[in-house]
Amino acid sequence: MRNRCNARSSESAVRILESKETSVDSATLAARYPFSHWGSSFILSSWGGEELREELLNESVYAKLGKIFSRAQRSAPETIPEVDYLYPENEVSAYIAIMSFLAYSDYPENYKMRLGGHYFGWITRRTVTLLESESQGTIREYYQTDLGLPLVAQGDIVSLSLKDYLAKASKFVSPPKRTLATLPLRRGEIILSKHQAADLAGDLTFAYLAGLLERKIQVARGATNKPAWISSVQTYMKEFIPESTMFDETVNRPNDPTKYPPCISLFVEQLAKRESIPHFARFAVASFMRQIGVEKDYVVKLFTTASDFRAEMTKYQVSHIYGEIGSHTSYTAPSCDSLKISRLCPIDGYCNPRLKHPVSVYLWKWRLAKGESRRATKAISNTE
Amino acid sequence: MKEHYDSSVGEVYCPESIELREFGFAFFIGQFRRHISFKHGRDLHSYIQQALPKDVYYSVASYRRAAAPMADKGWMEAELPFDLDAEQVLRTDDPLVKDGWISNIYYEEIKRELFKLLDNFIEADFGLTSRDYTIAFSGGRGFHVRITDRVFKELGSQFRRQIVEHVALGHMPEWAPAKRGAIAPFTHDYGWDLRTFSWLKNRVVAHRDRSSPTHLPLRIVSQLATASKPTELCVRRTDRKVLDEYLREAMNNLTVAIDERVTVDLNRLLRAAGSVHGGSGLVCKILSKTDLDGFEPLTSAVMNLRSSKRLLVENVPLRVEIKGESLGPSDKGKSIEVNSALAYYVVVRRGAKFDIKAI
Repeated sequence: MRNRCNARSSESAVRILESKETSVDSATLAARYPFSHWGSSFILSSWGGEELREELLNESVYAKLGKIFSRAQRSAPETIPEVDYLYPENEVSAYIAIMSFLAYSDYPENYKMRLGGHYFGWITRRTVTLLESESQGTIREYYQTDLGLPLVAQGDIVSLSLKDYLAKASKFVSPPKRTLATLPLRRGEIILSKHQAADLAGDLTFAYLAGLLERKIQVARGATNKPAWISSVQTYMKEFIPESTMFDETVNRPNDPTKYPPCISLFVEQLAKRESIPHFARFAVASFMRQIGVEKDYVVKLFTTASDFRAEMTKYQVSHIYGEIGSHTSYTAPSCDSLKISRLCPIDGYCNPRLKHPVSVYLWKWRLAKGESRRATKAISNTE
Repeated sequence: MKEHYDSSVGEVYCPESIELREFGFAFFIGQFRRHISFKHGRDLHSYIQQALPKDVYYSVASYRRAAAPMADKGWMEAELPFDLDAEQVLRTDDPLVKDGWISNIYYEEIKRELFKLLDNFIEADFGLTSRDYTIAFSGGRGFHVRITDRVFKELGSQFRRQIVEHVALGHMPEWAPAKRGAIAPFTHDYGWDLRTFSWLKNRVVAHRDRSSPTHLPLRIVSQLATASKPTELCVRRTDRKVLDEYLREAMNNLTVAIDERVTVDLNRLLRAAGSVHGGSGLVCKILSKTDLDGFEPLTSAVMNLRSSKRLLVENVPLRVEIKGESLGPSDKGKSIEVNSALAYYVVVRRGAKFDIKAI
């Protein structure tokens, strides 16, 4: 997915910045932040055509991309000279190509979002690294123009209005990773050092790009001008992405109750003992089971022992969670924090401090077991 | 109830853009009616006077069609509500509290938590002022706060959940590597980091002055004493475990146990201010922050009744005084005539019965 030029991402980016330029031209900024207004201006000035951030791009942009690709195909990797890896044309065209590919490919939509998530994760990490080395003016311009959030300079630090932040961030399809409790809040302002401003910008950029991709996917659904090169790239991509991974967000592991996180184990146990459990705990059980790929009937069966079991109601609610009826949205299990604030988490702290979701804990336990069995096999083979 | 609403129905609060709010009413026969809307406050008042509901609620949300069934209402925005309920806030299993027998001492504790919510979070963190929120005594076991600021009203459940986490769960510091192999618990000097640091500093330094054992190594205590801001504190890796215990204690002390279901619910019906809480006989009363200091529910939130009732006292577990008359454990088995407000308060909690012989 990542183009060759981008592959040596952060290190080369930092190398370039180490030259400590005092003023940076907009083409360089376009290379560093191809999704930004600098990238957009670069397209307008050097390629012509539409704004970079528009959901659909016109034929001339695709034609230009085609030319760049054909040039790249002629060059064997080893013949590519040692170049500035943040060369604007490379960066911007890579960004456009990736977004177009994600929007127009035949992959399932949730899979496109997952692939996009990997790309956005990488590019926002790079953005954070790069922004940390920019001047405060550039950071403020990025916030103002691309994220729509005015920053106020207060000497070395900057402040951002919490209300502006909330108004903006709540419009994103998925909220920024950084939660309110982690923000440096003071009387309705978020007080940020340069490093923190870069960090938050990365988080917001991820959310912005995810929202943008979702809109692009929606537009591409009915589009007739699917670029011709998409299919060939998709065929090429098969080598790297086996189709078996294109499930929805279900993790599709065998159902192994010994690997359930403590909360789910407790709820299942309580249900089996005919104890009454809160509605949210029932929701957590059903959505957790859905995510680990358990059949709906098995889940309904789990609830048959509940003291207030009503077959029709349970089937209806479980079907709803499985996205089969109603809004056809499949529900994901609540996070550890949600369970904690609902006082449903049976343990202090977390099963694993790095994991904040019951499904992640389940997968982690699978990985642990896998590691143990591998070690055991190795030990046996060693003794043999 | 009739006597109260005959004279005081005008005190039932009419929310901003009343025509966009959904109203719900609980009745003494156990019925609950919702999806009702009113164009004007006077319509609401005359409905209450005619129907004499046990409880009156209205939605935190505004809808395009407030009287339509849920799916067709057309959600527009919702106030951000906080519910501080005695059972949760006090983190108690006291059966008296569950049954609604809440002494003034408990109310004072709930008020302290309410001040914590207002001072530390709504004002210090969110930067809101008294113009941006309303406070009301719930009429029962606690207080309601509704944030009416436009930006907060437009938040969806995801951000409301984050607000709940911010207030009720807090934020354990994110330890980060510092100079020379040390580690620093705090990454910035504001919000939760500042609050936790200040608590830690007060706790440890105050204990040191009184020569109490703090279980913290002296080097941390002296560091805390000299550090002027959170990011100045950095400790040895081996000290993390012991400091974490203190940080967890800080979280317990600094968080406010709000009812998270209320805050994240975009369609919640909350008791209307000025109406009577049918389960307690006290009035849900709008208060300002300055009113809170002297506010005592059993004095300031009683129904406006002049009549009196004769009661057969069964079990009043704590002394309750309303309008200068009181009942308590020593009155068990007695037939006593008291003012109707006190009578209602005690009867709904099954502490007494109306003395039928007297009627």
